[in-house]
Amino acid sequence: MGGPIFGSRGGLDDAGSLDHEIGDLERVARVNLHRSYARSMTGHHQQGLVDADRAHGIGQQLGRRPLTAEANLAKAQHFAFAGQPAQVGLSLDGTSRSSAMRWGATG
Amino acid sequence: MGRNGMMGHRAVWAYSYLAIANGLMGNFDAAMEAAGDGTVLARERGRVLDQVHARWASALVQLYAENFEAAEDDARNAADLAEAHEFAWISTMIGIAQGNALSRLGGLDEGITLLEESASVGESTGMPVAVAWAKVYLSEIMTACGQNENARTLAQKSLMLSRKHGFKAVQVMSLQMLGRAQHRLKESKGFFEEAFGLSVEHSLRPRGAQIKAELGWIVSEMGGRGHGRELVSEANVMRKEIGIPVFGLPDV
Repeated sequence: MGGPIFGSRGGLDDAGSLDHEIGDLERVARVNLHRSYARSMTGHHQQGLVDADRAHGIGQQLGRRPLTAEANLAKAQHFAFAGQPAQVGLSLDGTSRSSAMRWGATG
Repeated sequence: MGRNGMMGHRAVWAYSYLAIANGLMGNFDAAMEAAGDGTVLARERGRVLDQVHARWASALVQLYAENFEAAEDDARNAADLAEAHEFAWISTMIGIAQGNALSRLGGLDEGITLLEESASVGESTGMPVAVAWAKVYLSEIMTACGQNENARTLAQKSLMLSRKHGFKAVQVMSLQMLGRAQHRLKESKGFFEEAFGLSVEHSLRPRGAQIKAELGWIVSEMGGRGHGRELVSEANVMRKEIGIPVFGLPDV
């Protein structure tokens, strides 16, 4: 993951139980997602993509597909707003209708 | 996010981004299908923010496909809904699409007002993405009106923002507007060449076809009539492939 995330990495490392740590990690991922979405709305895409990548990394670490999927959507939002269309399809794991429908299934 | 209703349903937003991306690339059938699916799903789900989002995406696709009446219709519907529910951020972005569509339909004053308002709100609320898009569309209007100095100032601002924040489509358009607004053909050619190269790099085909035609016109003016004609002809092939009418391109 790397880098300062919400200033809470140390707290996470000190967590007493695995369950507690998983819960905190998911919360950290969600904070990163919120921040990523907010940054896409103002146009700060470079930092916003870093936030989304962090959330994606945590999602992978925890094996939580909805989290990684939402991180991918955040990335797609950045690329759509930045006018980098080819990256949108890649972020959404393909440009087919079934890709969007999968979002419906996980949403 | 999706869970608390603040950000809308994921599938609708994914459809919107697929629509916008395909529109920017000139895959209009896929873009309109995605926009349509998003609109239907948003209506089924009944969440207003999603409906606004889907209609905004549809307006953008229609703009890229040069269907300006449909774009204005979608943008107006989205704007009405967004205003009624005080969705401030997306209202600003919709204003840009609507202003652009209106100006293309002959409503210059109303279009310019909307674009200037969007740029102003974007500046006061820290939304460089809104400022950049609004200013580059204003620059395009100024070039059409022959106000090259205004066009240059606006395009330089949007170019600066696009380079700083990585807004590639705005960067391409800003370079194109700078190309249009130069007095010297050689300088215009340089801007068009850079704009076209970037458009290819980022698969922005509709805009790229337009730039290529304009480059052809400049090359022809500079004495390379044969090469200029070739470039315009290639641009027309690109436009035919993506389904945009070829008439209206600069004659060589």
